[in-house]
Formats: sequence, structure tokens, C-alpha cells
Amino acid sequence: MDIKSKIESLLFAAGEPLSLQKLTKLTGESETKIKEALEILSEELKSQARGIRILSHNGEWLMVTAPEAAPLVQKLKKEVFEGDLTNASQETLAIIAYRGPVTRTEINEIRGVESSYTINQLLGRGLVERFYHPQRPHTFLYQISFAFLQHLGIHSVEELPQYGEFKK
Amino acid sequence: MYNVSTQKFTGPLDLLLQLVEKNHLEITEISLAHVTQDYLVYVGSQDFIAPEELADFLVVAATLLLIKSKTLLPVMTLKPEEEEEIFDLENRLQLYKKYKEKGKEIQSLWQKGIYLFTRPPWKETIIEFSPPPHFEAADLANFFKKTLIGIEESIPLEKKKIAKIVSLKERIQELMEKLTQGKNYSFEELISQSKDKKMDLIVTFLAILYLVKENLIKVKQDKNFSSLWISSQK
Repeated sequence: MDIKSKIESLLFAAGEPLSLQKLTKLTGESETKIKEALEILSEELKSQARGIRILSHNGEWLMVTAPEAAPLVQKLKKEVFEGDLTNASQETLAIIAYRGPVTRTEINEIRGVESSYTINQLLGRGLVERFYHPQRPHTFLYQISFAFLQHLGIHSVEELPQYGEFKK
Repeated sequence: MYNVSTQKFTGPLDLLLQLVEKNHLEITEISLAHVTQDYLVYVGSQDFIAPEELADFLVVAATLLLIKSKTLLPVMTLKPEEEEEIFDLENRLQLYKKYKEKGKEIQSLWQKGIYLFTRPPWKETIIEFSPPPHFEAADLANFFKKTLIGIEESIPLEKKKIAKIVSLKERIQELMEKLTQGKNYSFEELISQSKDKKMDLIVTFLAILYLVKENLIKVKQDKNFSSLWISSQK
């Protein structure tokens, strides 16, 4: 069995994000080979318009249903969809998505207003995640989550409109 | 002065941006000066701005007033840090605008409702309390400490008492009451005898500038550096 198929099986069986390290450990293949295989697999699924896709975020990969299949799968799985995003949530998500990982202070500065409440709500809805700042104690860095990608129907954060321009 | 729509805003920058855009203006020093009055009216009339957010609104208001004074008094020279403050506000507003627009795009993607489903993770996963071997109360304490470290510190606000000074609006009203009685006053006579004389001088001067601009009063000066004589326009 080739690496590509192995990865496909593992991502299917996992049903949750798998990291590069985990895939390396499970398959016994090198990181470069796995990365390469993931890219090819991901492209094939897209170009052949298959029913499943692979999302990538923060060094992890997740297998999901294809965007085109969303209305169909919804008939099978009745996910409860939350309402709209408030204006404050939209702004905060945009800052975290386009600028992340960011600190709370940075978000406050850009929005010109205390954002803890909004950030906590987004954390609660699972649309953003946080981790400790490697250099600063008592500080978190915020970034978007797989759930964010899933809700927006995009494969990675790079697919957001003008993402490249913002990163410059 | 006209009514500002009661559309909701998410903070001082959002309010400012909405005012600029309502007037179909680009973000420039001039457009910011233009909407200063509206901004102040709006902030002044909003009883529902949360006290903890009010400071953020006032910081922006202070910079706007600086910009406004600069346009009203072209001879006024600003300190480098004041110039920077103005420049900063313009830049911040530009940056904020970019993210606000991106937020709208995120919202429209969200509204398409294209959700990418995953398989549920292993069914066999049963969540249970399984402490590591030799788990003791001290370990619990350690974990609790770790959790506490994770709580983000919030920077406490500096406490400061704000001295009550007469507001520009109040001074304008006082001056109008005095002047409509038909008597002429010298500038010195109009300055009330408060403790903070310098502040009072500034507020009174600004009030006079405003009333002249609104064509409500006349100001006469016989020669340079002589007394200003102020009377009602009527």
C-alpha cells in the first residue's frame, strides 16, 4: 500500500485532526514523504471532485466531506447550526484569522475596544483556539480552529479572500 | 449638527468609521475634523456605553479634538507626539477598516452554510476519570497552580480623580446669558474667578471662538494685544 492510501485510511479512521508527528509515527515514513503525499492526496481529492477533502491547519490534517456535498450530508446529519456572527465576532475573527496567532492585547488595539468577552464567546463556540505564548507568561496566542474552516467551507486559512496580501 | 443614525457600533473606531463613511469621505485628517462634532454628540448622548468602554471612546475623542483645533487654528503648532497621535489615529482607522471588511467577507462565507462534516471520532472513546498511578492531593494542587498560571492577567486601570472643570457647552451657555443682556464685556471680565485659571481661560476662549463662528457675538480689538471687547450680535 502506498503512503497516500495509508494516510487516507488513517485520516478516515481518526475522524479528528492528525498531526505530522502522529502520521510519521504510525506509518514509519519520513516527514517530507508524508507532507508530499498529503499534498498530492489533497489535490487529487479536489481535482477529481471526490466526496471527501482534507483540511490543513497548524500542522494538522482533518478529513471532511466535500463543500459541494454540504446540502446532501445535512439531510443525513442534522447538525445544529448556530445563528449569525455578531459584528464584534466578525471583526475579531477577521483579526485572528488574517493576523493569527495574535495576543488579546493586539486584538484590543486594532478594534480600539476591550475584546475579552467576544474572544471568550468565540472560544466557547470552538471557532478559535489558544495556546501559551512561548516567551511571555500569562499570555495566550489566539488562532482560528478547524471548526472555523469547517463552518466557512474552506480547506485552509490561506483560502480566505486576499489572505496573501494581508500576510505581507 | 445633525442626527446620527442609531445603528450599532462595536467600539470607538467603528463609530468613527461609520461617521466618516456616512459622509462619503476618505480617512484623512480633514474628514476626521469634519466628523468630530458628530462623534462628540454621539458619545455625549450615549448613556449605554459601558463605563469600562467609555475610556476608549474618550481617548479617541481627545485626538479628534486635537485635529479639530488644528484645523480651526492653523497657526497652532503641535508637538511631535501630538502629530504622531493624529497620524496614529488615521492609521489605526485604516487598519480597523480593513479587518472590518474582512469580517464581512467571513460573515458571507458563514451565511452560505457550507459545512464540512467529519466522521465522529472513535465510538469506543469513553470519557472517564482515570488519574495516573500514585496520584495524590499534592498533584491536584500542582495542576490547580498550572491552571491559575493559565488565567490571563488583566491590567488594572490606574485610578485617578478627575477634577471637575467647567465644560465648553456650559461656558457657551453662560456667555450667551450674560451677553444677550446687551452689555459689552472685556475678555478679562468674562473669565470667572475659578481656581484653575488657565483652564478657564482656554475654555472661555474656545467658547468665544465658537460663538463668533456661529455668528452669535461680535469681538472687537482696538490694537494688537489690547483687550478684546465682546458683545452680542443682536
